[in-house]
Amino acid sequence: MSEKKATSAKFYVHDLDLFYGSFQALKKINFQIAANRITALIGPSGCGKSTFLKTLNRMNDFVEGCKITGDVQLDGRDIYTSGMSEIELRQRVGMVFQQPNPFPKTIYDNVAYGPRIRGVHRKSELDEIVETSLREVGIWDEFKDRLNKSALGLSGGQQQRLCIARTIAVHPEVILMDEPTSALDPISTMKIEDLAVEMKEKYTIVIVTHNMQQANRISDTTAFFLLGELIESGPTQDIFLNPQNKKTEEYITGRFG
Amino acid sequence: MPTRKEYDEELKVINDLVEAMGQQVLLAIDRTNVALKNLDVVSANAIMKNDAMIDAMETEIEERCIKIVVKQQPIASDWRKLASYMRMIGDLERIADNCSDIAIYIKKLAKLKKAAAPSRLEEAFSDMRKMVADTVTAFHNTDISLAEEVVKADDVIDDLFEKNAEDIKKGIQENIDDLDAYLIYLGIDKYVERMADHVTAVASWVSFIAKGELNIMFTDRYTKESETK
Ligand SMILES: Nc1ncnc2c1ncn2[C@@H]1O[C@H](COP(=O)(O)OP(=O)(O)OP(=O)(O)O)[C@@H](O)[C@H]1O
Ligand SMILES: [Mg+2]
Repeated sequence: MSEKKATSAKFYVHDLDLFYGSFQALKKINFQIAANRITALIGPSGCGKSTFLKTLNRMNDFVEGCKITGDVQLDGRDIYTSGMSEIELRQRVGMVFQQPNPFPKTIYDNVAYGPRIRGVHRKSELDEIVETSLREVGIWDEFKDRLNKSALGLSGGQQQRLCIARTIAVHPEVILMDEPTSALDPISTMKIEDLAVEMKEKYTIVIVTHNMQQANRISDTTAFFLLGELIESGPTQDIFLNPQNKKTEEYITGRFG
Repeated sequence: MPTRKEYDEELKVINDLVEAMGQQVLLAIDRTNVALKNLDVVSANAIMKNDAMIDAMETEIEERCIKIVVKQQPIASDWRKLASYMRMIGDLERIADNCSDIAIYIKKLAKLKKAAAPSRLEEAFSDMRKMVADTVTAFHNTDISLAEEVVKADDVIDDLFEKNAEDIKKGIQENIDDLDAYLIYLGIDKYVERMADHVTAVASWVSFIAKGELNIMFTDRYTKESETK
């Protein structure tokens, strides 16, 4: 199945298998990720959520012994076989991690980093990118007078929003978030959640979370993974009100195992 | 925060309380039926006194539901249960109120010269009683098809109510002296119909708990009525 799909899905994943050496971490995953929606990936530790997320921007390529078969199409083009460059892919599909990981540089340089390595050098242009990116994540007013301070001096929540600003500075289409709030306090968490909901107008968001309330609050679609399999996916409301699979019900109600 | 075990136990307790409340309402219906047949004032008073106990059950269940919802944020079938319980107990309480309303009428009727009860009132009453009994059973066994039968049965009672009203009108025309008694019977007839409506709603929540599909059958009497000339 390599033809362009007649679907509005941003990502189309078909029969995806992933092996770490001889260990199969993902089994025959078939899934579509809708554009301009928030998709939540849930499931117990080790079920393959992060692994799946990383297949969407080929972060697994760095892992030795990792073997992937099946299709992963972004807007109808296979990201593994169509010759799409990694540069292009990572520009279109950005990632935010669990631990905020700003570079040990100034706030300004953190946001300007991506555009710079993609060839933007004019100061005025960079200034504008920095401002719009910081505005978009709601921290421009807070930071505009200390853009030259080190990013490492910021709070966890501020760092995480800075990392999101850094991600959007290169104008991605998709933002992958792997437990972006699990290291944050409730207020910062709420701000990131609100931000994600605002951002879906412009971006397609895929978020891994262990927080059922978070998945329930902000996502449009929820997918439940277990032992490398996609057990159930669908509109978030359906998954949380009336899951069809007993395992899903057990997991989301905390009665697992 | 309570442990998982305590949470599951509390859910079970609430479930059992709802069932017990259903049983109490059924008991009130049975006592009302007997009191109505015999125009028994002592029994009518007892029914009204007992209403406070059913109200207290409603309050207790409601408080426990609110507490577990706030503290545990239940989802999936746990949430369906709790949301349904909170609606069901309201309707059950209304049925019990209607028993007391009928008890007030029984006391009035007992003071009057005895007029013949509308011939189909007893049938309507026992049909309604069966709906309540079936709903309690359906709740206990999580029996969707039984709950759905209850929902269907509501139309039959609506029909009986109309026929009773016709009979009462005829009775008044024939025995104008019994007017007061007939007006009371008309009121009782209406209460029985309302009780059937309430239990229909309860039965809808029972099937929601089991199926998860929001297909709540509130009475469509108003729709029907609004479409007649
Ligand atoms: N680089 C790797 N080499 C070998 N096995 C790996 C590697 N990365 C992950 N795994 C294994 O693959 C499985 C899925 O891991 P993954 O990190 O995707 O899980 P996860 O669902 O994200 O879990 P968590 O919720 O704990 O983050 C696990 O059994 C894990 O041990
Ligand atoms: Mg992970």
